[in-house]
Amino acid sequence: MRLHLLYFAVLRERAGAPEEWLEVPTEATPASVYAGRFPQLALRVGYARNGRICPADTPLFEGDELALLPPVGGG
Amino acid sequence: MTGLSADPIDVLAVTDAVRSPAHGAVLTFEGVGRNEFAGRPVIALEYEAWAPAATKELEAICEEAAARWPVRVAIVHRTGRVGIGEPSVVIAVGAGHRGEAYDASRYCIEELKRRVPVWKKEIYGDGSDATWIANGPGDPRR
Repeated sequence: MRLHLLYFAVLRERAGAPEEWLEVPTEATPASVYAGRFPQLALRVGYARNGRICPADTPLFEGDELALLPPVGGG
Repeated sequence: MTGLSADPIDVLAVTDAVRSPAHGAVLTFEGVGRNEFAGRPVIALEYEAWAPAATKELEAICEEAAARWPVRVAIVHRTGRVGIGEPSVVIAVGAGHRGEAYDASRYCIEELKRRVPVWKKEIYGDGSDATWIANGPGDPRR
């Protein structure tokens, strides 16, 4: 299935783009997508599916938007 | 008033947004770009946000504070390059009395640092690589 990935901060820089469409196995989870896309990074990322914060093992579906959120640094 | 700004924050405008004849206290907090980290000279900060989610989260924090204390809150966070001494975030709280103003202001900055999807990069003056800096309990600069 295809997912619409959103990248921020260090992940955006590593990916070279703020977003992309990615083909992943149907059983993919946010955690497996992150580990597959950024195998060299071991950040404690958070996830949002279709704009809502979700668990690392939440089921994903064709066309979902998945945001990978590095540890925040606002303030 | 609450939200993100790509331009320098008008601190007085944020403060004025929470004024009311019923308020005996108006408290404005500025988070400001600092010129060093661990002995390294910092010459600027760069903030990046997930704009729609960050805006929603800032609004949610204002509403939570107003539900917990009798206060009116406005928060504006910068995106883009922020110079040393410039505010990166402004939190204004209007309240009947100072106690709830201080409590609400502290609540807002702590929640913001914990959960608003904004990221900060430090740009150094000694030639070392710019670095993304995360908030957290292990952060000595909390």
